Amino acid sequence: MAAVLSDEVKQALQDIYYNVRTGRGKEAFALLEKASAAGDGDASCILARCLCGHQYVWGWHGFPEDDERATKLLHKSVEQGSALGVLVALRSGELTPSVQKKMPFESLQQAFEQVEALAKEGDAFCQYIVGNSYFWWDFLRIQNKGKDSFPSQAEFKAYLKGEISKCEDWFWKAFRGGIYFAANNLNQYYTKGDEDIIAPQPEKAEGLFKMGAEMGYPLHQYFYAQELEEAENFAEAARWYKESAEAGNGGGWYKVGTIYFDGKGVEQDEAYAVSCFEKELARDSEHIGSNNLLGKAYFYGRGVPQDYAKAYQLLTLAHDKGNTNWGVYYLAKCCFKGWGTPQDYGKALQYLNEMDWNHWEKDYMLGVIYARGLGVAEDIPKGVAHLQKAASHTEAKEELLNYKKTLFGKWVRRK
Amino acid sequence: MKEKKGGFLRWPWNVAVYIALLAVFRLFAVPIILILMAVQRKNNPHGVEEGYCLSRTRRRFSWVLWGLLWLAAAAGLFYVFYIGFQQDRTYWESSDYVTLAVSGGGGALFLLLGAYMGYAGARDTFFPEKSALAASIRSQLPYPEEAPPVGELFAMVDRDLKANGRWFDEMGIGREWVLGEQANRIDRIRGVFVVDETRTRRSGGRTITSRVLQLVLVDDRWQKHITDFKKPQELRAAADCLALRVPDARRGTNSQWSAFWSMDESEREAFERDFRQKQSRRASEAAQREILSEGPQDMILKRRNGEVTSRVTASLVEEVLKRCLSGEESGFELTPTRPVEGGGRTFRSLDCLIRAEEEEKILLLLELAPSEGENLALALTTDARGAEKVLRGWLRREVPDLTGWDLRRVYSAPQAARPQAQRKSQARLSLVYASGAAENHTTFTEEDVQMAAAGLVDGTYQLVDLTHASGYLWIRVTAGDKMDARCTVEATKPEGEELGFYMAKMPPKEAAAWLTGYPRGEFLPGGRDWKRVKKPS
Repeated sequence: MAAVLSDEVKQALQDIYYNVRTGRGKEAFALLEKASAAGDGDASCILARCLCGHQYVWGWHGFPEDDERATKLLHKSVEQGSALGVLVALRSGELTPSVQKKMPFESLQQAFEQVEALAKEGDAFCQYIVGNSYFWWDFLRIQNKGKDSFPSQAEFKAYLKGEISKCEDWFWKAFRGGIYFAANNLNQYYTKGDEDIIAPQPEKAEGLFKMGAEMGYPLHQYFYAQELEEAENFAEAARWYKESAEAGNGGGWYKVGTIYFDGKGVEQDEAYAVSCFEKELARDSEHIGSNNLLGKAYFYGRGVPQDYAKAYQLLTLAHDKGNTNWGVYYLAKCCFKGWGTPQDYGKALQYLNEMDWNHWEKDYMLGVIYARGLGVAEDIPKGVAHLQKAASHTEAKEELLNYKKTLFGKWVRRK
Repeated sequence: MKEKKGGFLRWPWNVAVYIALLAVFRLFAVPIILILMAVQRKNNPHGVEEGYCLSRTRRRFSWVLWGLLWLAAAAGLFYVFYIGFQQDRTYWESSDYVTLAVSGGGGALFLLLGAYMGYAGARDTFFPEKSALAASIRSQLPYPEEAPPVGELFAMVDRDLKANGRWFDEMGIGREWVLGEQANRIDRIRGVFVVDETRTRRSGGRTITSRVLQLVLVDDRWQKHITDFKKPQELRAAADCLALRVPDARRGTNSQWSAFWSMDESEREAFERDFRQKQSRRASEAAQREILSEGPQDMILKRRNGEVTSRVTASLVEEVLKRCLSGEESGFELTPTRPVEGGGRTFRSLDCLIRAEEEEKILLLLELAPSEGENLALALTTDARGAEKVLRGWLRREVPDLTGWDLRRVYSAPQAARPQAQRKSQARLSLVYASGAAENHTTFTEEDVQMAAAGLVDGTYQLVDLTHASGYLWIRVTAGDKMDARCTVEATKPEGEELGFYMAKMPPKEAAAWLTGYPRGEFLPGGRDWKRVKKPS
């Protein structure tokens, strides 16, 4: 790595990490690709992180996830002489003996010192990487130390404590400098501590996401909104969800929609909720929650004119893509009644079998299907047993009147 | 005369056969008659073939027989009375006077009873228009005096029962009518009372108990109709059914009906007012629901861009068709939620495609319900006007005139299988340095394994742990210590269904060779120097 980061890398860090609201993530990605191809090891390293998913980069830049390519890029960055690449490869378990052999540093310590120097100069990303080296115990490899390097376990633990606790300061610096990921690690550091070496200090974690939210990090706005929602401060939660959504954070519009759909702590506005779900789907047409709730809105005609076909389409998509049984009740009812889809008792039965919660209509539908033998072999006793579970409801009562018990206790159809 | 269909005897042949059997076989005819009656009931339940109402009035024929029986008894008693009356009563004892009085009084009573039963039975059986059932139906009409002939009256009730009837003992409950001993219009019912009482009376020094099972219906003209039941569960089921049909009617048991029935005029008015209010509230709720759904939504419009709706109107279809004709869309599909039947065929959807090669020409594909895995459709190429006509009819679930339509095979694109999640490699290389520092790698190369092996020899690593990508082949080499410089090698070996664990001690160079050779399948543990262990250390 050069003693300083290249302008391309600096610009990319700005757009990819420090200020995601610029909406120039993809341009930054292209810039990194170009720099990497030109031999910039730091660019290869950042690019590799961009390909590793939302745990390494803000998830809504729309970058592809490609572990294989990321691994290759990390190896390349090490070969290209990026100290950042060495530390990141070490952190990700990609600094295998053969890769390490190719790095142009005498030792890991040398690479670390180079990154540390940049961190000290104020680069937030380097501060974060240095913090990570302490937080995740990479300093042991960097300094080539282990428990055998110390005369006693107590001294080893004292050493660990001293080193690990260095992460706190670096993470704070990185966080203030624009790396919201640093606060995620700080949160973990404070709430969970580290084995029996660092004691948890949960009080210090309080307000971390609020701070991040106020600093404008969309993901922290989302997390902070979640905290507010858990505290049942729904109006404020909706405000922060909306902030994060407007910055492009996924799930934000969906969450705003859920609050307004049920009028939780705000004046119920189903039409607005529907518009929020639609915005979420415009961003990601396969968003499971939004498909489900918009499907429910169309099913009941809440906030939109009732449209069973639309409801069925949305709920099916969520069910199939999301592998979730959230909407199976509605899907079963649509198939059972022939609402928005051709009537199909076999499909209705499939959906009903996926329902793992009790609902009288589930028993009613199962009762009718079995007792009348719709799409399955007729089984009046089984059908009646289901109908009796729902017998406090008019429809089930009505259906039950079609059957009677013979003198020998057998259920038969009433003629 | 036996009917082919169903195998039952029509009136009056059934009665004639019973009488003939009795005449021929006397008492022995009874079991045969009972069997015949059971067959009648099975094949012609509740008299469905001849009409429920007519069948019910004809059953009153038994009253004629009972009437004749009572008249015969009355004649006998009168004869006794006449004989006694003619005798010289000088030496009569008091018991003779009692006999005379009983025979005279009893004769008169039996005469009245016999005459009434004979009259009522004959009236209902042979003159249905004068029957009590017909009178009860008339009384339920808004203008009883303008009631249609009895045939129409009975047909009205029969139609409803045939289409919607459920039977509880001898009571039939349809959507509009209840047919018990008499008939009731369901919307006129104001009270449904279940009488299930055990009544006790003493006769000739004996105590006789009987269970009374009755359903009492009171209508808005405050007329009561009582129907007897044989089974209590049927009685309750009938009451439940009526409670669902008229949820706002008063329900009660036993004597509660008489209190309800004997309410004074003002109480009746108050009840009626309350009943109507509840009824109109329900109606408005139902209307509200209807408004919300804006129609039955029994047709699905699917456009080529994937957009769907079940709020399909003729104007929407017309608009989409226009868009197709102007080239903005390429076609659409109209699928009913229940297949449409017509011309002996079942159709599942109507596709409307614009023929790119012919301007203004529309291809209509009427898809048949799949049979034996074959998808067939009837096709017609038409102009906009012709298409509109077919589409409008289809929206009303009408099958178009199929003259000129060709039968074609339809090929549907196979559904894409859901992508399976890629199985993650379980390969893992763990290295523990001499210092105690450790690292794990999930992606590594053979060169890394070789370097790890070399590191074991030169003392860089104190432990190397390697799991093969398949997940079950595993080897671990632990460097020796001051006491024993040999390395400890632990490795697995597949043994049928199970995995065997082996351990051996060997010099570092040999251990390094094992580490590099084992993943290639060159070596397998289990030889002379290897010890089988239960599990790794």
